[in-house]
Amino acid sequence: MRPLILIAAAFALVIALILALPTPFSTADSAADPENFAITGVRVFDGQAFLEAVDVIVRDGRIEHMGPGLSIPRDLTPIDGRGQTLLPGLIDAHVHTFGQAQADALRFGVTTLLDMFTSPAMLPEARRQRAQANQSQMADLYSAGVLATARGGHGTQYGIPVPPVSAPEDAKEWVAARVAEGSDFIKIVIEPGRLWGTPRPTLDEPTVRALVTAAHAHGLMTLAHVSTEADAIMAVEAGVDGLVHVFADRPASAEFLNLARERGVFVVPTTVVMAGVGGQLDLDALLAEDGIGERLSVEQQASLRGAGWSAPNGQALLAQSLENTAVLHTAGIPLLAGSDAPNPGTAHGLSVHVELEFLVQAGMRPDQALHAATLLPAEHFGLEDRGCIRTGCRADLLLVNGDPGTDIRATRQIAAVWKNGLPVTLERSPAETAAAGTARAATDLLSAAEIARWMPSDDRFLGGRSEAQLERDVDGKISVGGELAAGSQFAYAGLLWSAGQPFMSPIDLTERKRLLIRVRGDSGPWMAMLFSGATPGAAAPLQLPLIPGGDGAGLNVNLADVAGLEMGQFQAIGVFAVGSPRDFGFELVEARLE
Amino acid sequence: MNAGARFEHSAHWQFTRAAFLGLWRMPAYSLPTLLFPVGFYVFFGLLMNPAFAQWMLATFATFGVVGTALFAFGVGVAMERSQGWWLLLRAAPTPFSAVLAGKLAAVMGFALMIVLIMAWLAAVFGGVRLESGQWLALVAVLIAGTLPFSLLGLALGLWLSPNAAPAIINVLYLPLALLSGLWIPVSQLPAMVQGLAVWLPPYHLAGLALHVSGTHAGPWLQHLLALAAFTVLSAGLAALAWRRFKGA
Amino acid sequence: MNHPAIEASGLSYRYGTHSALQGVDLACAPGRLLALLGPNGAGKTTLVKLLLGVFSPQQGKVRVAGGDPRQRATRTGIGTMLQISGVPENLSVAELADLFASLYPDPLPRMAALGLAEVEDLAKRRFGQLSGGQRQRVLLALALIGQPGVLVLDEPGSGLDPASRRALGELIRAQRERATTVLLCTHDLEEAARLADEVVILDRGRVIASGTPSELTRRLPERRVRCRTNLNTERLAALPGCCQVSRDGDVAEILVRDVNPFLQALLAADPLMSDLGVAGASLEDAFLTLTHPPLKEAA
Repeated sequence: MRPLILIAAAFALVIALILALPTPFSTADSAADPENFAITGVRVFDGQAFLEAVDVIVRDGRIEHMGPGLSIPRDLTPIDGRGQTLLPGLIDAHVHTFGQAQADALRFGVTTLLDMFTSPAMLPEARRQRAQANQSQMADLYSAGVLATARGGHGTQYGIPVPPVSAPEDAKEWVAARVAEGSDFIKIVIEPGRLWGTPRPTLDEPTVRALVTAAHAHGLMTLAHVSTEADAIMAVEAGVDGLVHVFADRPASAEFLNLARERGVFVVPTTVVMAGVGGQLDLDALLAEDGIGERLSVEQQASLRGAGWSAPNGQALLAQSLENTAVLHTAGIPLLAGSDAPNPGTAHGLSVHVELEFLVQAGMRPDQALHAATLLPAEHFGLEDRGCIRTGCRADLLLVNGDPGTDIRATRQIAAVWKNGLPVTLERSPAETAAAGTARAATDLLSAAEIARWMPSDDRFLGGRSEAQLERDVDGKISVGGELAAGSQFAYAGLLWSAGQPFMSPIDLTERKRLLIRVRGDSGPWMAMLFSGATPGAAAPLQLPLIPGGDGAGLNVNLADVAGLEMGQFQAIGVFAVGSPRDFGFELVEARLE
Repeated sequence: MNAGARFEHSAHWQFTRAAFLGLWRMPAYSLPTLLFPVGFYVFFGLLMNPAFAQWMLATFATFGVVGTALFAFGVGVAMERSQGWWLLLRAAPTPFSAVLAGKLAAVMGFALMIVLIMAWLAAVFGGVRLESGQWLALVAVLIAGTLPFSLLGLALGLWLSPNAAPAIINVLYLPLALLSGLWIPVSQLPAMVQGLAVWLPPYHLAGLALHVSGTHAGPWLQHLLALAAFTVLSAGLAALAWRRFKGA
Repeated sequence: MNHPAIEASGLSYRYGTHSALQGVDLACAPGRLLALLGPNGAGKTTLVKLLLGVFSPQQGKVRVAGGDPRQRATRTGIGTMLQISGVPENLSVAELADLFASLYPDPLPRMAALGLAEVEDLAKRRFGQLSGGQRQRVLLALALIGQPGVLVLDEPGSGLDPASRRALGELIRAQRERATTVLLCTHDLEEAARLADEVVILDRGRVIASGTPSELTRRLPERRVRCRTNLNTERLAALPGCCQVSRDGDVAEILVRDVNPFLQALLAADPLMSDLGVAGASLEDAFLTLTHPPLKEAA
């Protein structure tokens, strides 16, 4: 053994081990990018507990690093967070997503929505958007899609077609259909309606059990709407994973508490919707708080001021909800914050903050309430990088003035919100949004920016069996193929471009005069459909056949000549294969809105 | 004899090798020295407070290197002295500079292992990313930081009996680590003991480690001066203890 | 070389008020083996530490191997075995040999040094795994590796069984025959008598006798009388000419200054006395006589 060689080798190994240690991803070329910033000296709620005077470094949409008194690299925009508290973007564990819900929630720091019933048409776009993590316009959406309810049961009254579950035998097929639509979990309604004075048919125990079994077989969670303790016990015994309301018909019994604990179910109390529906909220005081009024959209104001259900005794129901929430909390049953927006008396985003206040009123400590709106729902719903502030977490962040640890209402003192590390515009002025919408719609709908917004679309939404699959080429080509199948009164399959965001929300495109579409593919026929109007998807689309010519078919139309088209509230353009059932395939060669 | 052979047969190399092998082959030293700081870091840093993975890398590595130096010198010298080894070395024509330098080199070797293991754990499981220069500086500061604590350990090892040494050094080491913010940041300690930290040398070594790794922009000059003063003080104590030892 | 290899003159050393050495003179010519004898507390260990330069003399002078042992250069000519070694037990014999070799300007090759102590086969073993006899031999090898002119051995055979002790003694004697000067501190008088060219007896910090083993024993007037008798110790001690009595069962050993009157009195007192033998005194007798007040029973 030659010691000098040994020492030299050891030295070289040590240096190599040090130099091989990983270095930061990006360094020089990202000078003071707003996407890369550091919040310094801020109190942090990390999803579970408060940390004092911490620096948080956000890079490329994620929390890169945090700790007290970090040296802040020069390429980061520093933000002094002293006197403020940084929270993970909130998670609303009970919403219904229509219209601008995702944008409305985001302005209140609610960055993830767990939707318990919406149109399945939302689901593909929701999945795409949350996977890409490159926008700060909307909260991310996870959804049950349509809900499982009895024919004519609760949930069928809102105008969205709901395929009913009539018997336990239907469960397997029904769940498979939700899986195919892209549901993230299964929502089951058990609601005889007696508490609300409007009796309705409801699912029985064997059907609930069959639904749970079928959902679990697909690896999906099941969540139950209940309003009475008897139904809650039935749902838990049937194996559901969570209840999305606290029951308020009577005080929680030891039987329920023991059962819930034993089965490990969680409950989303949604006391705020009890208060809202029962008219128990002081809305004027709430709206008078700094910064809240200017952030509410028309829809939010409308739902907040909406007329409640005719619940017989709002005050008593709220009191019972709060009492049961307190008992559940004391019993150690996990509670998640949820608003049930946009029911009357609630508003997307804002109501989560009110629910936090109710949770504290029910006896939770502020840190426990915040846990219920951040890390706890993320854990229960398997959302790995959400609801947390630690290295590697998604930079969905809410910065508030003051300390919610001492006064939970401080969560409403919003100083800033970031989605995917990008700053969110907090103020909402209708003119601004319209202008932003106009600017967003480019002339060439196949440009690099727009091509991502085309989505497959087919008649399954209307109960048909056609299927469309989209293929995007790197150099700006987009084609669609699949099967056009008989099954609905009008079979169609193709692709759809939504003008606004969220999906099919109307924007003003009055300055656009011509629409040019050109496709190439099989023998056709093809049809363009134009959607417009105030309410997404409400009016029937206007149908324009594509005229064969050259090696495909096309359309060049003066929009002013299209009767019934409202360019001030333009929603979407669809291009579909229609006609006789067949395997179809075509390429979209041109799509321009001039 | 060529340079390599001359080096191999030099007392400095021989005592370095003997010190390193002696420590390495003594599980009572090598296991706690390597496993405790690394284990604490994994548990308190990577598992319990992943948000502080980078911060705690600097502080727990400081905890490790300080312990390495204090125990190798403090307990080691007290034991070797009482067992008669140092008497035999004194009766033989031993250059004590080689004995002490060899021990320091062995301590630095152990410190290097601790820091490298922790750095890799931090990088792989804690997502810690530093510039190469910062990694190098972090390792260099911590290795150099073994010197003053080795001198303090030497002074203690020369003063204390081998029975008292482990107990007294533990009693010194653990509160020193806690109050210096090596386990939890000083800012998270009770307010009444926060002021103590600036008087404790490990606080300044950790401060320097945090500074050079770009983790915490601290008053580096103050840390450096405090460590220099501590080095001089420890060297003085060691020299006093050495004179007493030579006379006995 | 005419200068003594080991020389101390007028050496005094005090620990506080306790005087450990008082005016000790000592000299050993090159190539001779000097045994340093003395009861516990006689000052042997202090003397060894002074000879090895661990302590500085408070009075007097020390020269070993031609220099002041407090200087490291002088100590490169001295090899040492101490009573307790404290050698790191987790180092191998070969590693220890290399470590000690690095201290000397012209060391023996590792295996040659181990060969001198007949421990080549232990080279790869850890020191902590060795038996007592093996350890002492390894320590001897470490003392020899620097080819020292002077060996200072403090109780090298302590704690060993007689056979190991004897074998170690042979190795030490072999060193003397290689013209190495040896200072051997020992309790083992038989060993000293067998190995030493010169003996120095130290008691209470003073040299009370020195010379060759035969000189020391010859200087004793006593004879050793050995017999089987049933007279008790008191009766024997009361006989004329008796100075010291020791007994092993009914066998008694009596040191007597004047043999004839004693034997007459003994026969008169115990006609059944048998197995009588008379011999000159041993080094042990000399040691005991010198370090104990006369006419007192030795245990």
